[in-house]
Amino acid sequence: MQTPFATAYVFLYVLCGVTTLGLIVLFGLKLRNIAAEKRTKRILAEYEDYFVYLQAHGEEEERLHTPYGKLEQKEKRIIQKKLFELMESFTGVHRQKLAALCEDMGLVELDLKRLDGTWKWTRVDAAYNLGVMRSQRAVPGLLQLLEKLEYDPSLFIVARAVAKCARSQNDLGDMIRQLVKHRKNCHQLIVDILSESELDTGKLLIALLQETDADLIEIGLIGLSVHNPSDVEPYLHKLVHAQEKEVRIKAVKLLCKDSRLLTDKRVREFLAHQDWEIRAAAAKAIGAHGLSAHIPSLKKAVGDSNWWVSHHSAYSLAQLQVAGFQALCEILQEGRFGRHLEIAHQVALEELEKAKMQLELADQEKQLQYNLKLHLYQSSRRKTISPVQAMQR
Amino acid sequence: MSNLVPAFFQLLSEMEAKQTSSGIIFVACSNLSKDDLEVLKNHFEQEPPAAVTHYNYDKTKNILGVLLEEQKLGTTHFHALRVKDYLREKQLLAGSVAIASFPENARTTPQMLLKMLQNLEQQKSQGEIHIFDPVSGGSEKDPTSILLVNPDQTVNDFLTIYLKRKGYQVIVASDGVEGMQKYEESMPDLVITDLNLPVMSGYQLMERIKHAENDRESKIVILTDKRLEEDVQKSFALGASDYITKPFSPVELEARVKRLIS
Repeated sequence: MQTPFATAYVFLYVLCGVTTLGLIVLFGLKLRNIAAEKRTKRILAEYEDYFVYLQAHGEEEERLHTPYGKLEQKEKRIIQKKLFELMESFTGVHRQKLAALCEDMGLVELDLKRLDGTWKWTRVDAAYNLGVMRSQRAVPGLLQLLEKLEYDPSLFIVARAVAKCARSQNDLGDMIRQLVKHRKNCHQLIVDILSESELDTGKLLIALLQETDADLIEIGLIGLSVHNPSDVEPYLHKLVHAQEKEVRIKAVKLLCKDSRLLTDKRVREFLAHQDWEIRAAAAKAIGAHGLSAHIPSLKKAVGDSNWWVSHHSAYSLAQLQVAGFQALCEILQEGRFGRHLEIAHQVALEELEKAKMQLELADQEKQLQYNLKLHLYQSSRRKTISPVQAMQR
Repeated sequence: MSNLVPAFFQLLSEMEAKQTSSGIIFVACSNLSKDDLEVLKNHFEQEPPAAVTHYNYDKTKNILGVLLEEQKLGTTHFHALRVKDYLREKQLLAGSVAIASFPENARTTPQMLLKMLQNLEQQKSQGEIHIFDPVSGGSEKDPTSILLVNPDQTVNDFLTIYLKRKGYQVIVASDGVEGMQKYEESMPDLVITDLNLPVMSGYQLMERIKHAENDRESKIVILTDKRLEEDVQKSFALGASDYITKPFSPVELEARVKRLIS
């Protein structure tokens, strides 16, 4: 019969054996890594002059020559790594010439084969490499791979590769549709991926605004907030009445970026909109663009039931020179109680404080403006609070 | 005078008359025999790129000259790599290598060839390849100096080669402290710096440079992967003249540098 001690001994022996085996494996891996590092260093040193040649003639008409002699697969991989470092650091003609060299060296062909590999991560790695090499030949394969992938980080690696290699806006459109079908909130990331493309994406983004899918429209709106192309107004205006709230808000925010698009009718429409975000965006834009003609509408908007609308309206009034400040003071005079009165008061004081701080550096006109604002404020508050108290506050 | 000058000058003049460029390679060798030269010729005749090639050897100065007809500087440089490797393998390499392309680099004159040979004799480094460029090497005037402060070795190596070929004198530092030290030593005309630097950040470096400036003012160009508005704003507030984000176009960078210096 086996005693507990004997069992413990067997267990300890097994444990020691497993630990030793583990250590041997670790040691073996370490040795393999050291050998790989040494080989990389040796090959990089061997091709040092060749890399200097590549870097010295990157903008000349001639195609870059591939290294002479027959290259082993491992040598190719190490040279590819160095080429990738260069290609990821630069844009323009230098990158184009290195991409052409990758094609000439057969590196594109190697990764095109790996793109059909058995293992998922081999395919994803090949997709990444093809993206760096800007291989247009790889686009159909990349799009196929993108279609098969589940929603995980590899999806975006392949999408980025498609964006880098894209031959036309259709490729980019297909890539966006493949990402959108997962119905995840990653619109900003998709726009970032699109920015990797060397193609002009303006037309594609405008085309997305005409889609029926809200996700595609949102991607178009986010993309256009960076690109800001012309001829986009009619599409944006239609979206102001879209069913999806996010679409409505983003469309209005885009319209508010350009003062020429903020007509009287549109400002009235936005400030009376059911979404507080739209009212707030319009109120903010009036101040940012210095549209003094809308002071009466802003004055009214300070009394809005939403705090943000009230807040932005008051700040916009403060931005609209003396006339805007006068409107703020009028609110103080007219009002008795309420949150909007507090906001107006706070903004008026902040504006005076700001103007006072700049007084020493300001020119005569600015000083005059400050005096006028102070006078308006004091007049509005004379009945309730003394000017000295006001400034102390 | 080396016998390479008249021999190659005549060939180059003929090429120039046909309005085609030719590449020249000069290599410092040790005791290259007639047989060695024949073997070398045969070796390269069998391999691409196919080009009419003339070989000449100056026994007194131990310099091998190679002329590649109808070839530009890029291919000449590539061919020089093979010649150098061959000579090194045969233990015949005794110094550095000089390459040029005429009239791509300059109009052919005996003086230009002489200058190339003189440069070769002055360079003692074994196997180093020098691109003879009258823009960078032949000008009498002091070249514009650029201090490059960047922790990225790839960018440093590339910009050193690229800007030197454009005629600038390039000084390299990989961190802020080294950058400041080299700034004080060399007082460059322009500084290209990253914002993410080890030891001392790009902002601190800029502040110190502005503090250290006396009568000479260096322009500062930021070359960074930081894209936030606040970084751009802070850099300009601290005295930067330009702001370029990575990845960047070297052609665009050089155009901006040129504009700032002129």
